[in-house]
Amino acid sequence: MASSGAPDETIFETLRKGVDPQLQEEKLREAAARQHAVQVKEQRRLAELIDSNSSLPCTISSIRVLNAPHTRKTFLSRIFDPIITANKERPYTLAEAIREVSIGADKLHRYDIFHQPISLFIDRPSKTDPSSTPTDIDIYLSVREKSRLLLKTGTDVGNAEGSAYGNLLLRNIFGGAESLNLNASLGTRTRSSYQAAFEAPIPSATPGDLRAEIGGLASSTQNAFASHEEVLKGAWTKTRWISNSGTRHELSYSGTWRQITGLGSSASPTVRGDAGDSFKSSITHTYINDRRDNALLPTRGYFTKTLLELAGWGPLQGDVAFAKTELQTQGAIPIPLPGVQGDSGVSLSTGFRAGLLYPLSLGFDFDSKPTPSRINDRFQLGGPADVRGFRLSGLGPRDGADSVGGDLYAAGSANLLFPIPRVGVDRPFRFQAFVNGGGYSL
Amino acid sequence: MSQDDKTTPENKTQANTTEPSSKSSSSKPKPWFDTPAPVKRLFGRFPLQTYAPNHLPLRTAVDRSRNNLYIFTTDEAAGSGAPSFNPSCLKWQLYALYLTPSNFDSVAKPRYILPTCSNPLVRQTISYQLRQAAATELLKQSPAIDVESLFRDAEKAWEALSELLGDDGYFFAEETPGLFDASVFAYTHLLLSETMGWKDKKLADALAKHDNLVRHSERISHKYFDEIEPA
Repeated sequence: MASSGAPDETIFETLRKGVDPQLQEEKLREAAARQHAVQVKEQRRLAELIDSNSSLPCTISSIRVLNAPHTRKTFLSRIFDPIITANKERPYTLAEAIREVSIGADKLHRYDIFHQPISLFIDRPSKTDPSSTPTDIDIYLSVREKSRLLLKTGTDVGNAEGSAYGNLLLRNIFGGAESLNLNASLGTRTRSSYQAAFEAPIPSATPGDLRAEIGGLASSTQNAFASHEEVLKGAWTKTRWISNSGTRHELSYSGTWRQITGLGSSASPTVRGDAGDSFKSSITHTYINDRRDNALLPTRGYFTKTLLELAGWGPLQGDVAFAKTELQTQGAIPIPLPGVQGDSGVSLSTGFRAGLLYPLSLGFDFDSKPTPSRINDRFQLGGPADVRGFRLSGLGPRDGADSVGGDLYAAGSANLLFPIPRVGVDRPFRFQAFVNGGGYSL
Repeated sequence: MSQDDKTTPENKTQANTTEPSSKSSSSKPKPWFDTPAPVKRLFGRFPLQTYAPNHLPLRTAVDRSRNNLYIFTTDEAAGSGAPSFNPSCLKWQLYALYLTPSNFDSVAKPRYILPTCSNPLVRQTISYQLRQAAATELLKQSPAIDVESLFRDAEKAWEALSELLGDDGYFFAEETPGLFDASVFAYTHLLLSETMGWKDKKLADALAKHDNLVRHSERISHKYFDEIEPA
């Protein structure tokens, strides 16, 4: 950089030449490394501080949630009051206090009204405050509220149909993590579908979240595999319990008015016999345990879903009576390749599903003959989502050209996923070799 | 024998006409993508085994050896062969049947609404939809539903039919009833029937004034639906 000659000219020359790019890169790298070292030191110091004070007895004098103007105080105090009242009986150690408050913060996060991460700050109250004791600490939770209105529109192509949808989500409507979800979609197969659901958390003493939902649905689907159009209009109420580890139990009552209409000119006698109106009044229990690392491309973990439905029996009434049960499981394991370190991207996943529809007698008439099943309630098997290699609802009993569905089915599949060589493991693209099968039994 | 001779030349000409079309079909364009031969051979081996077809569900207990006729009727009436009460028999009496509340509740509801579904909300919705559809049909004829002019039109129609029938047994002085007699019977029988349960009998009374139409309806009923209770 230095050169002989007049000092002014050298400066101008060096400025005009610009900064050497390599030098600039090195400078940036050094700056980043310094920053990183400072951060690591900070974190280590914080950890040491907490560690050395972990058994410090403390009493929580206040827990404050900052930057949550739209959230109700009663809602937040429901989550954090138990911590303070428990603390009144005996002092916490610092570690315990932090753990309890982070459990509360985790619960807040599950309501999906705040952005991640929720930051936790601990401070000692001012010594001049007469109501504070020497062991008092103040805890601050700094949150950032998610936007209360979310509007999503888009088009969906897949599963043998194309559709356009609009989704409106209103979050935290009354300040207590209530949400209203409105959905409208129009498509080639599901001609129209409108859905509205209102969900609110229920205060509960159990560990885990208890939620209540009430909703309604109006849809019209073109079932070309059975030459008819099915119009659904229904409403439901649901109670949902989500454990801390993510297991879900759902109990719901739903009443649906189904119409089989719009018969094709060549509809079979089975479909013609089932045409018309029917009302289904049923209670359903669903259990979901999802331990996969990714729902769309699972490489490790397992998934279990069971469904139990009782319709039309006893006080439920309606036009159809049956007991339906369905099981769905999926498991995936990664396969390590001998020469490759780390995640090879190759995984084997297997799935199994089965269902049974058992007709019952309608209402309180327990001695009468059970009502035979209708096409609305039977299972349809085949298509890109369950048994590949077959047309949509291509398996099973067939009357003429119509696939009428069956009462008892089982299907299984095994898939081997390979990463694509150029694209790599990190992108969600895979080659898939699969084997699958399924069938009905009567 | 002579008939066979007549048919064979026709068959021969038909065979002649199909030949040139089969020649032209061989020149259809080749598809732009053709499955490679080894893949085609592999796919050609499938399905490896075809199982017997699944049984149809229990609800499909339909006798397929004969034709089936689907009509609106009650179980007892179906057993005894009485006339049905299809809505198409009563579609011209839209106002009297659907839009007169007393008639709707006593005639249309038990026959058309109650058998569809057991749920009261669904029944109410279907009743409403049915009445709306009837009103829309009537509004297609005129901008407003004028009850008096509708009934005057109906009376004129009965008068015209009565004049056409005159003193004959069946319309157009035929010996046996034809399609027109059956169509008129479909209207008049259900209107005059006591067991249908009409509350507002304005339309039925207008018809009853014409004796020959009443007798025409009874004549057909006795001849073809005898020994049975009227619908």
